[in-house]
Amino acid sequence: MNKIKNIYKLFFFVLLTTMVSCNNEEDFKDLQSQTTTVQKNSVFIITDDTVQKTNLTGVNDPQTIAFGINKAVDTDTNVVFKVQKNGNDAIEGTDYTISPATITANETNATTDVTFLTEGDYKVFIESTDNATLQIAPNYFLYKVLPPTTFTITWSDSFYDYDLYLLEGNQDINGNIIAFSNGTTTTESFSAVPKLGFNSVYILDYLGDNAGTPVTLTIDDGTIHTYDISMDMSKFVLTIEASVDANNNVVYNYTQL
Amino acid sequence: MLSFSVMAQYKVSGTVKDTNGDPISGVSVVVKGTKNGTTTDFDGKYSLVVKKGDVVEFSSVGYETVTKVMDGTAIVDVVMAEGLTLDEVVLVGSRRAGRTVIDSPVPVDVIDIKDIANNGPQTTVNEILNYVAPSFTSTTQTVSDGTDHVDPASLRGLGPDQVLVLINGKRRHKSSLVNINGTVGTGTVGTDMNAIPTAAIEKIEVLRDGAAAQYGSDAIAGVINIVMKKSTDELTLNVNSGANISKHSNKYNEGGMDGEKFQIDANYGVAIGNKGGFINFTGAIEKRNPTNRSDSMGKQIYTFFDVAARNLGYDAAFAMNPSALTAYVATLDPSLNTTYTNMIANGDSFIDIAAADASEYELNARGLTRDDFRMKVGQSKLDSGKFFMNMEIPLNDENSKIYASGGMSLRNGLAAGFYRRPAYTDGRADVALLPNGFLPHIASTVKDKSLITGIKGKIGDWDIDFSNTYGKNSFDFTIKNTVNATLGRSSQRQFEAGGFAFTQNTTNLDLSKFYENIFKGLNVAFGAEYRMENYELKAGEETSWARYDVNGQIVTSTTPASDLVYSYFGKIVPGGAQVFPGFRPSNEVNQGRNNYAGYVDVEADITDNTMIGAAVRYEDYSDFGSTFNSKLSTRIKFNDNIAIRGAVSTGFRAPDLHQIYFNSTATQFIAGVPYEVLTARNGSTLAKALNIPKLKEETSFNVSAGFTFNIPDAKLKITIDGYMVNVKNRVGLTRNYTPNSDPLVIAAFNDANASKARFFTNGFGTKSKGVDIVIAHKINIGEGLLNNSLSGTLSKTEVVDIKNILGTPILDNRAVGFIESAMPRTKVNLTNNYSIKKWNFMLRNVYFGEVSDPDFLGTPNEVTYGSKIVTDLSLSYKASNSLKFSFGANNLLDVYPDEVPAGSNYGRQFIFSRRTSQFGFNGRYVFGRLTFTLKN
Repeated sequence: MNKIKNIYKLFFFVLLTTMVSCNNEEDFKDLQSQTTTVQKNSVFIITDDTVQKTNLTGVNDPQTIAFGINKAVDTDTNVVFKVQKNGNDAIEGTDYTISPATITANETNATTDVTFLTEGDYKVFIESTDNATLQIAPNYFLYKVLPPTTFTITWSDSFYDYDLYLLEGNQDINGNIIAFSNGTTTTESFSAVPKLGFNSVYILDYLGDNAGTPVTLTIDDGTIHTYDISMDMSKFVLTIEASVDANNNVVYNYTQL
Repeated sequence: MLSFSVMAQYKVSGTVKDTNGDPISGVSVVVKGTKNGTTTDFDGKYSLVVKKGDVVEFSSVGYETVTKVMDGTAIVDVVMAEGLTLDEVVLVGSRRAGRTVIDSPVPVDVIDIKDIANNGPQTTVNEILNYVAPSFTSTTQTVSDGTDHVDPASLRGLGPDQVLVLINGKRRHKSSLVNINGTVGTGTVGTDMNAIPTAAIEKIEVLRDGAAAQYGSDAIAGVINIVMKKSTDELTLNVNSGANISKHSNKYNEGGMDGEKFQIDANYGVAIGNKGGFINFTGAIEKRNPTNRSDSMGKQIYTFFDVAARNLGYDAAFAMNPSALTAYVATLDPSLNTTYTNMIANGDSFIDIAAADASEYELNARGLTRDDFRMKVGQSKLDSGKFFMNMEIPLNDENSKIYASGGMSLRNGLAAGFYRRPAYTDGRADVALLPNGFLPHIASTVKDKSLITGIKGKIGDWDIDFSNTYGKNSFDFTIKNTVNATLGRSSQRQFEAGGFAFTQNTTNLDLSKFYENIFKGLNVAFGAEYRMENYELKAGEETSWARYDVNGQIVTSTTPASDLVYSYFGKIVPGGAQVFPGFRPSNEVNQGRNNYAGYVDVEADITDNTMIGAAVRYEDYSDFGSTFNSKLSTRIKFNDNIAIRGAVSTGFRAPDLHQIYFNSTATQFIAGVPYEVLTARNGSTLAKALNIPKLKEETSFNVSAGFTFNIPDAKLKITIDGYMVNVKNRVGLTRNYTPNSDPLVIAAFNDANASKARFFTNGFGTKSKGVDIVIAHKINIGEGLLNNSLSGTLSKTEVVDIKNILGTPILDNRAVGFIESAMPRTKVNLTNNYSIKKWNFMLRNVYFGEVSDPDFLGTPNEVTYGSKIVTDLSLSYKASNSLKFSFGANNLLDVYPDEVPAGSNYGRQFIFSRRTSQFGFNGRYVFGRLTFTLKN
């Protein structure tokens, strides 16, 4: 009898110990943020730029700026851009002009064109909108409006016809054409501002003579640079690497090919 | 035909006591020259069927052996005096019946599990052996997938797959898990001894010597024989509870209690008939909580993108270009503006700024802390149930019997992986669904079952044993609290990732005969074995392994790059269940093989003092061919107190089916094109293209020598054994390989659509040498008895002959480090046990030598973690014949390994190295135990 009692006591003790020892804590649970977040809408400049860079341009050269909002709204949104020149507010009509910037109702993006009228360093960003619910992302574009660089080629024999091109990129035949001159005289010339990074000068042998004609390329960026070229074929003749130095000056590095 | 003739046999029983009149449990009672024997129970009682004239030996560690000639008296009580002959009869190491530890030609440790499990803090087989057996090393792993629940174990610094495990002398099947993680034992398949309840075990014999010529494959470092209980007519119930009470519990700098463990096991045996038959059952359940030794998450948690996502909504933020997003976030707080401004000035890209650290600001905004992102680094959670049975039924009075043993176990483990922080820029944290990321978990279900059946008897003068051993182990993985990130918001949170299974069936026929009149005794044994094995790898559900495109279709090599799922940062989002992508249908395996073996084993007592043994074994495998191994051993006793022994042998280890057939696939994108990163199957087209041969056996050459030395007057015994084990063609997992400039190699990788691949190959060798020392001492102090035991091992393993693939060694510095220096080369154990009346006190100090962290090997700043001493203390009180209390602590002084250098501890998550295997890092473990014994 005692043994049976002992067994019962043992059983209840084990049961009690099991209940006390069992851990019913959850093994894991999703981490919940404590604050309530409100999903907002914002307006911002649209760009594929991967880094903040300075765009090089010239006077009276329209620059298109795309902008947008996260979620379409059901009314037109008028966006006001701010333009600064050399750190101060620029004067519209004197330093720049800008086209109206409106995102149509139920759309999410639009464009505007800004044209700089004087040389200098410019910053363009969104200042405000007529929709108070929109958050404004203050990303911006930087521009250096520069005097143009003049590119000229000359040769003596009018039998031959050569055309002059300035392309964006490093000897990229499919690069964006910045400027070109393709007349019928023994000289071709244009003025343009090279883009930040690599630019390339291409001379086209229009008639395909491949004659090895001597051609002189002259570049005037405030300093005259002269290059003698033998036109044995259509080809890239020069690269220009444009960069901004520590003193915020544009530097052109020319490499004859 | 078995003999059933009736002889003058009868049952003798009695009680074995010491000189103080206290009963001695666990005494080996064996008819000399036979395998007919039993052990005394808790009260020192025994019963055995004998014949008139039989010489019965009573032996136990720490006592002088007593022999009695059976004269027909039914009750024979025995008194044993304390001594140090250490001549307990062992089953392993020799096929000659009745060999004792001291007679053995090779070193054998006998570990009395009952005493240790009842008095000490260690409760699993691996834990006990790690703290008690010299040259045995095993620690729990962390953040290592399934290896969190199987503790890789090593004998003499060799691999977990180079030690053979037996149950009652029969081969135990291996685990189905092959270790492919960066921990000790990478590339190996071990035996899961934790599937066996310790309450079912009588003792464990550890043979520290090569024994392949006797037992076959795997017995390179040694053999562990687990001898199961035979007790009857008593119910033993253990209730064991404990926890880690440590300065680093719960959190590194918090302290407290974690790792709570509750275990209850019961053992009960019933006599069958009146000729010594029995059936003994054991059941055990265990519930173990995890431990966590990480600190607050020190890695980046949030980015600028996460700030924008919280404020604007995930979709709106995702649609913003990085220029706008980062500029917007910069307006929200001066600290963010500072980061933004500095990075702009530094010329950093907008994407880099979008990935910039916004952790402190965002944690505050969300009301969270770095503690909310801690990983779980420590012991995994584990619930288990185990059952084991051991039985023998005599058939006649000639000691013929049928026997069986076997069991089942089910273990459910839960371990965590790396926290998927929102700061991961490849989108794996799926913040669209879980804005704060998640901590994925791996739930492993480990099932194990085994059954040994056999019949023993006599044919003429030959002892015969015919048996069949079946075993199966399986792992199934469920991945919880995770996602397939390519499914975004629609991802499920739990996945069945597949698993493995390994089955083994071994049939043995063993015959032996003892010739009394040849020399001073000659034992001849021979036998045969047939074994079948099967390995399965099962695929998981599709969502566990698939990478989906934006249309919800599985990505293939023809999927356009524009259809892939990209993160905000332009990276291709990885597919499959995070932390453990499931196995694919193409990975599935169901393969088997068979082998047969024959052996001859001869042991001759040339004189009373000199024994010579020789064994040869031939095995033929259906996949890789045949092996022939041999062993020579000798033991010379100069007198009762001095003996020398030595052995020379060759050995082998067959490549596991897991190593031959395991394969897995992960996907990596290069320039938008998916490539597979493979663990390629041995024998695959890619392996053949790289001239990786079919796996074959590892071969070993073992030499051991030692001596035993008694000083009876001082009650001192010393054994010293030196060894050398050279292994050739060890199977290991190579580093990842990429194609070189060879067109054929490039073509092979392209055909497999692989950018990287690793393989199992016979790629290196090892040379191991060392010395094991065991010193035992006993002395009476007052009315009590003090047992002292000092055991130590000094070892060294060197990796040699590393082969090359594509001109590069197959093992990198880290892989070499796992073998050479991640485990202690020196381990010393000093145990002092004092028993007086109803009390028992145990003090154990274990010295673990220094280890080197494999992660730093080959770098200018190699890291070594210093040697440590871990102290165990326990007290037991026997309140009555039925009740005993024990309590104490493992690692009483709360010692921890040296810490990983700051800056290399993954944001203070791996403060203690998970690459080395010293003594673990759970800290102090305090326990209490009640042992109930009820007798009929």
